[in-house]
Amino acid sequence: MLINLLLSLLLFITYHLALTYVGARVRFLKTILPSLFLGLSAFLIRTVFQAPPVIYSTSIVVICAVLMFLFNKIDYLSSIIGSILSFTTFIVSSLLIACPIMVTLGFEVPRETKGLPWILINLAEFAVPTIVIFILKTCKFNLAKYLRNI
Amino acid sequence: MKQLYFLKAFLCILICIFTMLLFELSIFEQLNRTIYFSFMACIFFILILWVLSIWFFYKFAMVVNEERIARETDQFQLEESRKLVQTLQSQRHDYRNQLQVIRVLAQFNKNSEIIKYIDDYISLANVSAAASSRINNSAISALYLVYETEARDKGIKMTIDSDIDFTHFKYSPSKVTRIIGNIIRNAIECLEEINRQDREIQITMWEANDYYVISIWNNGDPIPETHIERIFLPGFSTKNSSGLRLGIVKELVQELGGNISVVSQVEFGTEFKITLPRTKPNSLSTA
Repeated sequence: MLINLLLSLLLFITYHLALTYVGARVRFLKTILPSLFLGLSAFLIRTVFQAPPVIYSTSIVVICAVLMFLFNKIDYLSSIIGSILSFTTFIVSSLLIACPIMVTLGFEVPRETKGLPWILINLAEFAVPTIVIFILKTCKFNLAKYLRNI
Repeated sequence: MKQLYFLKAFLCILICIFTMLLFELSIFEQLNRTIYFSFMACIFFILILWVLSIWFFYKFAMVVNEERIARETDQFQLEESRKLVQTLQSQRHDYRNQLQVIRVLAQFNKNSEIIKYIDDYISLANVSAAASSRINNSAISALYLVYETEARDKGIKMTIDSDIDFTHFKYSPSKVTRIIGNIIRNAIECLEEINRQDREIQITMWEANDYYVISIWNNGDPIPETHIERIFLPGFSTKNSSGLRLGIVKELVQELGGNISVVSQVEFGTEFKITLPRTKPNSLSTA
């Protein structure tokens, strides 16, 4: 349970990715509370309520957008866009990179939310969003600026 | 409003892609989390769609933005032309007033006063007329006369000196006057804000071996060093203006195959130096 909770808290990476996508410059301290909320929600939906992945992903996207809107004063459209972009990156990286790597390493893609493969796949899933954040920050990519320049 | 529709359209595409992805995810679950090639290909296809949609939206945004800047530039030029026409109209009005005074003096047979009045007026107008007459290009002369009068009215001294033989000058008069006019207008606006007596604008034009050089200098406040590189960007302004003038100037100079540079220092003032090649590229229009 505790490991699951800690793994859920890793969602602060996707929260930061969502903010980076929309070019929001928010102080790190101001993202702690919403990230914590997002992590706890993910933990409740996935581990406590055992929701299927589709419902889990949809709920997390909505919660992330709401948290961005409420805590970081990002307008509602940008919040949704950032949230969807972030979780699309997350899911694509999970299905396209993390799962095949697990299979290549000789593990099965875990069906239950416990055990070493489960921890490994979670850590692998977050690798790509972290790299994307790093790239976007380095390139100073600001999607919101481009979209608003029209 | 347009941005809002654009954002909503973008959001709809994203939702479509995300829904496809969720659909893939549910299939992945139904397949008991076994990885198949076709399944991977589908996800890869979604990823490509995602990247392409962002890329095309970005290109679309850039094109629309360029169109907007071009439209604003045209609008700005129109406004500038209107201002020039207004200046000419006010000058014509001024001449009519002078004639009215002379007419009244003539009615009362005050010949000596008429002569004195005309002499006074000529001494004022002569300086600019004499200066402009040395330039054998009617468009630049006219432009100088208009701006010199405006500058004089604002207490700014404006001089011109040229040793260019304009009989072989092949460049479009409208483009050259737009280049010079925009820089002079900027200089006048800059000097207007300064409370000083010795405000001055100097236009110097000469021929080098391969180039015509046009220098427009003013002794206003210098442009901050941090702004020098950005002053030619469309929309950049240190004042409350549109910030399009110098962008237009740079674009026109480049269109004519020339170059523009700026030197701005506290002791020296600000000088814009335009160099235009004497042998004009054939592709350039003279219209």
